Amino acid sequence: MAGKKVLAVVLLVVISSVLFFPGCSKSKEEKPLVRILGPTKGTAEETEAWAKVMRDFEAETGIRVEARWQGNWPDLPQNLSAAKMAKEQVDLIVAGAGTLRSSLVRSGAIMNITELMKDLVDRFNEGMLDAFIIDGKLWGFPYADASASVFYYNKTLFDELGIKPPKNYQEFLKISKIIKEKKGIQPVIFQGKENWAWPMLFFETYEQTSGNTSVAKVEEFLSGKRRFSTEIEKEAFLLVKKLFDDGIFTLDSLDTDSEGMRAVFSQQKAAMFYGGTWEYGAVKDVVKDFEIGVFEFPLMVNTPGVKPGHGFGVGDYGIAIPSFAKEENLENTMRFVEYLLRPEVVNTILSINDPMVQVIKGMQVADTPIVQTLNNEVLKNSVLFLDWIWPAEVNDAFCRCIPAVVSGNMTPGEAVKIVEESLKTIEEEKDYKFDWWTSWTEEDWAKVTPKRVPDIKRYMK
Amino acid sequence: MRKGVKTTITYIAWYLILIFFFILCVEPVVWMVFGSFKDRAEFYANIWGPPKVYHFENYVKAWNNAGLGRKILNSIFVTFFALLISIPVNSCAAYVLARMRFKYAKLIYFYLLTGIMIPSGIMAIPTFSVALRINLVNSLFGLVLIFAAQSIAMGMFIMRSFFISLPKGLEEAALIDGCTRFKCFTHIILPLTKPGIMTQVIFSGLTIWNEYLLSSIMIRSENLQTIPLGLASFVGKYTVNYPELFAALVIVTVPVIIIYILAQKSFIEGLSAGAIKG
Amino acid sequence: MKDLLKKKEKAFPYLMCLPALLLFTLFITLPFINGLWISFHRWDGFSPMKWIGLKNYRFVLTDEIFWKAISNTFIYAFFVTLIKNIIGLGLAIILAKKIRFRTAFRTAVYMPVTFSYVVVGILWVWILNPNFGLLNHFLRALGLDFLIRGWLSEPRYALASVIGVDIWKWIGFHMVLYLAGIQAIPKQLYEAAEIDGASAWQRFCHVTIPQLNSTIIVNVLLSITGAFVANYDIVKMMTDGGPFHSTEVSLTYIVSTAFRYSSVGKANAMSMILFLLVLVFGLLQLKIMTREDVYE
Repeated sequence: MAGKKVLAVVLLVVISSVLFFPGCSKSKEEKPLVRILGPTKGTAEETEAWAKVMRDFEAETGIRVEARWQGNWPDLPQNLSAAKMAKEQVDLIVAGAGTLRSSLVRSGAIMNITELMKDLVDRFNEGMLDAFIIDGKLWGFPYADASASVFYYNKTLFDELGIKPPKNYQEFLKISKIIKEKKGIQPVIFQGKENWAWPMLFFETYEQTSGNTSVAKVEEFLSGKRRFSTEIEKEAFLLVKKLFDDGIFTLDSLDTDSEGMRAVFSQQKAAMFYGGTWEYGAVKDVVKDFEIGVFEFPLMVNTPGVKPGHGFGVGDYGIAIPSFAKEENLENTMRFVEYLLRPEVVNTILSINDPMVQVIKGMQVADTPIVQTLNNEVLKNSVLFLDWIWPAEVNDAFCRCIPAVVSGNMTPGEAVKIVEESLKTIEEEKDYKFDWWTSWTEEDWAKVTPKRVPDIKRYMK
Repeated sequence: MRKGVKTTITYIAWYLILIFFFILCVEPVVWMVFGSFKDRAEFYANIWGPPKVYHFENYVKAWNNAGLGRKILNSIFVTFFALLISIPVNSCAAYVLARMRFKYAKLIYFYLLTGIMIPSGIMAIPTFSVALRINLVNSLFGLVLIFAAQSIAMGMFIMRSFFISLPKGLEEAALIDGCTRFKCFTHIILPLTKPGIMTQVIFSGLTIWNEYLLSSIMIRSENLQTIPLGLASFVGKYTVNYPELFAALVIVTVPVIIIYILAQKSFIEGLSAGAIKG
Repeated sequence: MKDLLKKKEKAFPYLMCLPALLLFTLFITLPFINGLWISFHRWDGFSPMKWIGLKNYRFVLTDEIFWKAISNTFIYAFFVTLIKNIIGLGLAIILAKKIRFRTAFRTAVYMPVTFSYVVVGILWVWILNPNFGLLNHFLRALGLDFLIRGWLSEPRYALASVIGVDIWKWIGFHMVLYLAGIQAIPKQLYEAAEIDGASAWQRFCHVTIPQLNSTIIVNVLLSITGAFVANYDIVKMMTDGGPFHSTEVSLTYIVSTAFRYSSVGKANAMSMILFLLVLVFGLLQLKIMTREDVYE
């Protein structure tokens, strides 16, 4: 019966430690407190960098900062909702521009920080706040690298085969044939098992078929001024399918998740893959045997004057203030925001993920060939990620329809109908309005606008 | 002679089936353990094979990054007490519902039974708002009570079907001897339903041990987080740190397997010694 | 004195049920009623709730994806229940015999039950991967190339693949329950049957199955309700409902509606409808399976 005794002792230890430990942490002195809510950081380094910044800030100002990193990215809205219901103190949240734009801002959960940030906007480079501006007002700010979509390729293999990154679709087709014939591997691998990844391909083709007006066309569609079932939309679906029909992408991609995509590429079972710039950090760590390069999605249409345009956005990770944050604490909160935007602090936190684009002034950016290609070639042909514009339901319709079209289970005509219907459904069920701001009442605005704007200029160095 | 051949063939067939399942079920464990020792490059490059270099530091990192120590204690606390409350409570109800006739018995039975038809996960928000009103948010005790309540329906059903299968004469003799109903239940009937209790420990215990959605809303401070919430810290927005995640999973899974190995002897084999006769 | 005793006797069953009723009412029924209340509102989790009466129910009833998910759930429940129980019982019968290494086999088959869904998801997605997956590799090695296909991307096979993984994860659990049940069957019954000259199959039909009645009921109910109220994680990890909703089950769709689309009201209406369906279905099934109940 020794087992039972051991069990009893273990339980006793567990119970006593669970009951007594939390008591200790509560006995801190009463200092002003700023609380952040956000998803868990992916790496220990990043968690530690935030902790260090918070400690330094407390030492300088006497304001304590407490962060609650909990759950994954998709959990944030429900976590915030629970915090609001529980009347918790939350002064800052970490959320992407996509989440803010598609749901949080329109539901009145986010504070309009245009006035609060007026002395801090010049800390950002030109155009970097765009994704956070809706109806001319600022609702958050990016605290991360910019991101875009590109092709990555195995440079060592390309050199060996004597081929170069393609400049147009014909070249793309040609090098794909060479790779298949000479190496017997698939040219491109794609993370098709991740539903969210599919719209990225559509952004590329739609930007081209729409003659570089995809953002405007989507906005017209969402505000009811345009059908989504015209030839250019169907053509955009068809072009994605063409990539597969021509053998540049293969149907293997449909069963490949994002980790699988990296594995296939790093095992040299595919010569290229298509993904976001955020892949770079992960891929360069796992690829040891060859050199990596990037090139932009090539032009697939022959319409004169049309150039390629890639999904792009600054604000995968952003910071915002919830509308239920306490007004009297705004001064402390804004002091911390000011501190976060100082170049040395920016670099402490953001340099961990090797940023490629200088979002905040003074941010250190790596100077590798890949980063140069990105900045000089890819980013100049960029348009806002369309999934930061259209709502989650419409996005899901794309996520489901594109692979179905690609695998021949659906025609482009059916796909555009489903997309149109998804919008009609939420217009009926949720009163969805693309330009929600036009129907907000004075009262709605009062809830998200701070009454008193603290002066933080005197704290700035 | 012929019979001997036939038995041998049957045995070979059995072993083939067993070995098939053995590989199917053990290979993932081996893979998980291998993966937990690889570095990230090798995790992608050498997917199925054993690691070329063993990175023991993954375990240390995983332990520290997820704050596993604290979270394991919290999970043990929540699971243990939820079961400690739920099992006696549902056994009591199941016993009288199985063995006694009284007014509204059927009503009570069906009322409790509806619980197994409610998907507890998607009731997370309503449950949260109820817990908020009675001040149980952000407390392990709150989680204990909710999980206990959620396992009542299934537990009651399992225990009741075990009680029904016991012969009726069992407690009658004891009752005549002057034993009270309750004593009779705890001393004679309950020990015979050990498999029912173990079924609950395994089923409800594992459910509670792995519960994520409700805990993620209910628990609002880091020192109260349970293991599933801790495992989320290996998942970034675009990448998952698999070697460390696997190391953490080995740390939290292996004890569960060991408990099973220890328990299965008393649970499965101890039973045949029991006095259940049809 | 005697009166008091009698009163006590009468109150006994109610007292025994009281704690269960209290806990259950507080943490299951109240939230359920709360959910019912929310289902009459339009609510995104942040802005004030807006009463819209039965509209959410109309939205759900006309939502094709929801009905697709419901029908998938029934298919899922049917196959999962059938196969889990057949394999679970089969393995239990073999492992109840005195054969070598049986503890090792019992433990091995049970292991998947303890795995976290994170491991199960990535493991099977990678085993089924067309490029480096073990399954296609294996098929190729056996010369069965024609069987190679997109296990998770072709709508025809995706649901079957997910069901297969669910079965793999849980057969150990059912095996253990059956094992416990078999061990409890008195040996004399088998001996008597053997003396009567019953074949192995006859012994199985006339001794094992009737004696396992309550075990079978528990197992079937556990696997059915598992398929209705607890298969979220496995589907989420394997396919997230894709390709094109072919593996969408009611739980994944309800969770998406509540959390990804922030239609908390509509999601609660779905939960209510799902509950009603499971209730009708569950009661029917119980009625069929438990004919010799104490109440008859």
